[in-house]
Amino acid sequence: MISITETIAVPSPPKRVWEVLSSPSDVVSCIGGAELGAAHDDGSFDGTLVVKFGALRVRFAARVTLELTESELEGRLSARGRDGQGATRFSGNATFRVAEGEGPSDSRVTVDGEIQLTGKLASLIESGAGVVVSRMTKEFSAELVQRCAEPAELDTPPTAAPPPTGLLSRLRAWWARLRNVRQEPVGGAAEEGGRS
Amino acid sequence: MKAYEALAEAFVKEGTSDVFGMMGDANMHWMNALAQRGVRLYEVRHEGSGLGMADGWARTTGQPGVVTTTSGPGVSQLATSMVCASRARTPLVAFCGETAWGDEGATQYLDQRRFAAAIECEFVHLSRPDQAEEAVQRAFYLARTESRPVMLSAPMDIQQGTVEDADEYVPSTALLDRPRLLPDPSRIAAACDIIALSKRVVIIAGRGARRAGVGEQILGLQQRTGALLATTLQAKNWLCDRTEFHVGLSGLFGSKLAMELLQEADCVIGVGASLNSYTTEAGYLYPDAKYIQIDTSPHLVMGNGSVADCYIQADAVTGVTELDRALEQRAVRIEGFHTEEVLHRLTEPLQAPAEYLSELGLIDPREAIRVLDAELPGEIGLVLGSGHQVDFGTMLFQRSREVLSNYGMFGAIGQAPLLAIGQVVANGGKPGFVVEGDASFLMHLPEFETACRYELPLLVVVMNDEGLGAEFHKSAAKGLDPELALIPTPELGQVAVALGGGGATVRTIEELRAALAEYVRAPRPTVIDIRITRSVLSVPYRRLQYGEDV
Ligand SMILES: Cc1ncc(C[n+]2csc(CCOP(=O)(O)OP(=O)(O)O)c2C)c(N)n1
Repeated sequence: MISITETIAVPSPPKRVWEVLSSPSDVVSCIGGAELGAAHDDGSFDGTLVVKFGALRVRFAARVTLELTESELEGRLSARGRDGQGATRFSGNATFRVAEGEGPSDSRVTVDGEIQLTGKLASLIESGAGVVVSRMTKEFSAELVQRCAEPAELDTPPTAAPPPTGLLSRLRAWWARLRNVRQEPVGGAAEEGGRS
Repeated sequence: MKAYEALAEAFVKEGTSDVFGMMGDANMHWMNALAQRGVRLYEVRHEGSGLGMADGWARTTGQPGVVTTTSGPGVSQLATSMVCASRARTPLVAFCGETAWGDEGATQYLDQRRFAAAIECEFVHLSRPDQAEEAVQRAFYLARTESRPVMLSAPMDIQQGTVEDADEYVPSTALLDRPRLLPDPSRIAAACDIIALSKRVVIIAGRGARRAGVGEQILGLQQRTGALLATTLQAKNWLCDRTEFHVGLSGLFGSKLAMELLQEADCVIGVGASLNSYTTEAGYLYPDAKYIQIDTSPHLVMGNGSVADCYIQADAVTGVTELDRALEQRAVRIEGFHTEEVLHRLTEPLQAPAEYLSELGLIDPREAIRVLDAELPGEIGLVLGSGHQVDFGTMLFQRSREVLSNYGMFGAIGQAPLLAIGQVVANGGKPGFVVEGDASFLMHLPEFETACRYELPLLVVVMNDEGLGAEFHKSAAKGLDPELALIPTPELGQVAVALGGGGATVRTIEELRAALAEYVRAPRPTVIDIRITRSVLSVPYRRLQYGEDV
């Protein structure tokens, strides 16, 4: 299991940060390799995410749910899915909360969550998985800061059906926040050259 | 005739010429009988090591290797090497003595049948003197047909029993009549359908292809399909001097470029390769590919947990020839990867890193491998060892030469020098070298003395980082104390000399070159103790421990 506990300092007011974090397409744009798919009646989305583990590119597909509690500026993202080979399943969830930061125009975003990977990939990537997640979280944090600094976009006509890019972004966001990852030792990391 | 004589006679008829092991009450009569029949006996310092040598001998000749032990404690020594041979699917017969039949109170009593089951070998028991020949025939038959180790366990009192002079012994080979496996035409047609729709074909050649000598046919198929040629670890560097479109290894030990190119494949043709999880990275290396697999095995499940889209059960030569012929009939010709651009990219990884790390008195392991590859002629075969250091050799040796890797076969350190000794014996005393870590080499150090005693021209290159490098680096990655994995070593060059061989401990490239030149001039059992820096982390470790894209 990979756990994520991350605090991101964002130099934008909480309202703006919430705006970004509660918009799937905005969140997706902060995550390299994420795409949103179809939205379902129950409010969940499909999404895909390509993650690079070393030189291997692995494509995940997931069903993502995002529950927002606007009054608290709190959201809960959960996702479960599998990779393209069907050899690895994952499930994860993350709770994020936007709070006031140091100053009135600063925010603090806290993220708490965990990811469970089961299947072939888990043993293929050993400790590297945690590092990858942590790197993605860093990238996401940086993108989020930038995104929030931009003025809110007015140009998306409300009727324009978003291309299959919304849902996954949430998933991405969730992934991206996997930070300060503590990785449990992978059983059977045998002691040969690479792994065994 | 005594049963032990009948047993020895049968071993000779099975083709046994070299036996590794250690003598004891329960196998000494048999060993004497073998010696009288001209079989060469190699007395080793530990039975498990002897099994490792028999394993190397068998992997080289393709014939069952033979190891021998006395009862009980002789047998229990076999454990690690036996599991390793079993995982490597090595045909092998372990002739093990046993305490007197039924005497379970004997000091050296061991339930050898149960032990054999636990260490993953077949078991044949000699329960009556008159079954001596049958037992040997059965043991060899199993070893050959199942391609795995077999323990032939013979109580010492039964060995002393009398056998009627028997008829002519029928060796197990007389019971083998393997027809050529011709491919099913409908499968060939199905494979053509897949290939005809493909734009980026990769051919993966494995140990089976190399053994079958299907090189020319593979090169022809590669030409027609514009394929990249990759090999499994077991066929490392095979054909690399025959085609410019060779990407080296498929798997974790492949170069970054290889990994990038291979992930573009839309069709993989495996020849004599199981396409296991090492080769395919559990399938992740070929996310969009359809698989065609040519192999002799009746069933194969690949490393991604599936069967190939088109499985062709055939011997490699006929299978590839037929496939190529069918493609020709359909006038299939694909440019595929055979472009200027790919060619240009492929020539790059062959160049050495611009700068090697220089630390006082320590050598960069990557530079050590480059020098070894350059100075040791291609006729000198290589066995790859274990530990962190093995990654450097596995990735960086470029020259076309015979390479034997033990990676993934149970993951025990220390087996490689034993395999290498067996290989030198199998090759009739032709020089060979093994590249091994310090802890791995020291684990079976006494067997270097065995190599000296039999004047085997084996070069042991020790990549010495004075520690358990694998654990050192993993500890760092996991936040543990790396210092706990450091173990100083004496000057192994001097140790080798004391054991009766040649040796040098080298701390500079010049010293390394000089030591290699001396070995090449007059090959003899030699240890070159290369003091390497711990500051260079291998590419696989950087990928696995730090998720780096390197
Ligand atoms: C029989 C056995 N014991 C222990 C291990 C755990 N192990 C794996 S690699 C390794 C270190 C080997 O050190 P060395 O041979 O010096 O190579 P290095 O890692 O330093 O390159 C050890 C102890 C193992 N795989 N097999």
